[in-house]
Amino acid sequence: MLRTLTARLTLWHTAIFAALSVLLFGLVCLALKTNLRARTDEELRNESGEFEKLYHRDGIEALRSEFRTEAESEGFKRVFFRFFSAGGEQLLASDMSAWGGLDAPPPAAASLPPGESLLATATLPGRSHGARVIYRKSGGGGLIQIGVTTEDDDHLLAHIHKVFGATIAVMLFFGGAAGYFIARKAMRGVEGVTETAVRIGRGDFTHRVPLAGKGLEIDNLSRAFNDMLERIQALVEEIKGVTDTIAHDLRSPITRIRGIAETTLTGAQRMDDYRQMAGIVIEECDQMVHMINTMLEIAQADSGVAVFARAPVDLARLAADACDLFHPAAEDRKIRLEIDGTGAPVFALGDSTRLQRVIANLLDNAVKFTAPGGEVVLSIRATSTDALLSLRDSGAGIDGGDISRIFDRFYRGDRSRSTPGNGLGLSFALAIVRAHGGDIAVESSPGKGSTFTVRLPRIPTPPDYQKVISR
Amino acid sequence: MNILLVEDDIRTAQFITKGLAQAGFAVRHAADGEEGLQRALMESYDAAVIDIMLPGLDGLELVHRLRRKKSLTPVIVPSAKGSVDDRIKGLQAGGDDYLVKPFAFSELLTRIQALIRRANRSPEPTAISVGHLSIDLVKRKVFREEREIELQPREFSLLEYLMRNAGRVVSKTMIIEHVWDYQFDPHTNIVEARMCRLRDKVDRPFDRKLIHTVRGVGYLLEEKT
Repeated sequence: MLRTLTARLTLWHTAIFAALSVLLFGLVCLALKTNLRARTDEELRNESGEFEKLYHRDGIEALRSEFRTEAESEGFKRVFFRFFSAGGEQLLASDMSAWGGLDAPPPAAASLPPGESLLATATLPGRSHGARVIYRKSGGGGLIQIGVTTEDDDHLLAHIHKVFGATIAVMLFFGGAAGYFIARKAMRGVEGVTETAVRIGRGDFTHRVPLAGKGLEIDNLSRAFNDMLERIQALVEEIKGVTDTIAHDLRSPITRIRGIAETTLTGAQRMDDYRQMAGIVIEECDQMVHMINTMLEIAQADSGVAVFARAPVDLARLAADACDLFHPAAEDRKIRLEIDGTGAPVFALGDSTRLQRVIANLLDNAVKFTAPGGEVVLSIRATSTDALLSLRDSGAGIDGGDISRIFDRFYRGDRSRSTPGNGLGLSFALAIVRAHGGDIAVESSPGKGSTFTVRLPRIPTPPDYQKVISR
Repeated sequence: MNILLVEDDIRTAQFITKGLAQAGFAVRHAADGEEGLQRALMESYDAAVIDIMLPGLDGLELVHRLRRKKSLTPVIVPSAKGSVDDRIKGLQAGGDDYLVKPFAFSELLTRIQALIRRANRSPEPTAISVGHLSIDLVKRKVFREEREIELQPREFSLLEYLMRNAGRVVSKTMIIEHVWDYQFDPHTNIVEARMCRLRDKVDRPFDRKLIHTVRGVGYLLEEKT
């Protein structure tokens, strides 16, 4: 029970609340007690002063009658008066029947200078309440003593203690309850996250923590949690998808390899058939290996574990090289392949082998999907921050529904299923470009063609750029 | 020429042995690192092919010990791991070349021959000829039956690569890698298109064809009798 944060928070809340209440009430009681005593003391001082004056003026008999009157009016159980000679002998006293066991005046009182007084607290063996006592030295050397019971003050204080005690108890109860509800309310948001996490633990990734405005902290937690879920769900779905496709895309070539080997073995008699079979087997194997390697490279680039060279790369030069590579193939297909631009160098920082492959993949696609008589135009541009490489083709274009999926691994649009390829070229290009801090944008209108634009962070032309060119 | 092959996978060893024997090499096979080390130290080989993953003494350690004993036998290390780190480790241990599995056998053969040539300090040829076709690597000129053939620079590089590997099959991947310095798997016929132009100039006007297509594997330049 005490292990829940709610219980702990409530307990802390209540404990602090209790400590503060007790401290507050203690201070109030102390102040009251002091105040009450000060009032009593003041009265005692005044009264003893009156008595001294009376004694001084009218003599001991006047004092005796005054003692009696006062004791009768106040009540002999509540006050007493005594008068001692300079030698310490009791000369006068009010009714002392209720004050048995009272001590004789202390030596300090006997040695008081005339006119001075001394206050003390006396306890009486037979009574539950003590008394406040004053001694006053008169001018003639006699000692006046007045005592007054503290019973009323004690009662008042006891009553206040009782009231305070009850109040504290009630306050603690409600304070604790309030603390519990506040803690509970705060924790309910966390419980929402926990519940969602538990559901996900059971394999249900569709749940999200509701953002119910339970306070910024909880909402931030929920949002961070939901973002994480979004990413995990995407990854899980991707892994599922990739696993499915691997199973499919590796099964197909394996089926073909097995099939051709089997039919050749059982049917063919001529050496040429065997040669052809061996050739097909090699071709299929090479494609499988290439697919596996590309998948690994994409995964490495995506997860950030890939090690890339970081050297200045001239995109204009890469584009020119790529054009050179594809020129005859494009020409055979009657596709005009050209570079639009001045050829002025535009540099980015990166891995030239991988960027080369990015351009080659894009060009390969463009040439593959452009019908004879069409054109493929590469252009290089630079903005103040970016190096841009665009590839415009007059191919079939990409259907609106496909455009968001063309970068997905193994995704192949309807039109591309019949052409050679493994559906990894664009995924690879995007993964590499993103790992370089760039992006690839696509615009396409079906029937008119597509434009792929690779954006990479641009760097200034390095000072040794002549060397790069002449290499 | 004899080659030491240290490879624990018997089937892999069989095909490499068979392929190298076909290319005219004598091959000695060792199935584990210890045996490989003993043979490499006791006997003399022109080159060694040493796999990394071996039972007992692994390939990198084997090469390392070989180099400590001052053995200069050129070593090529084929490995299933393809990361840059592994290549560097392989080369640092003392390997002379590194090949990622699965590799094309023709690639292995080319590299072994290159290693042996380098180790023997064979001078770079200034001209190569196959049958009546000859190329001058210095002046970058091509002749066939005394007639000069005009080639574009890329076509020349392509022919040069085929000539240097005359008699051996070179794959499209190898061609793209060596002639264009690209590493990718095209789905368009970029190599075929270039090869077609080269053939138009080098082979077409003549009766005897020198450049042959080996379906599924690549191309082969040789004078077939």
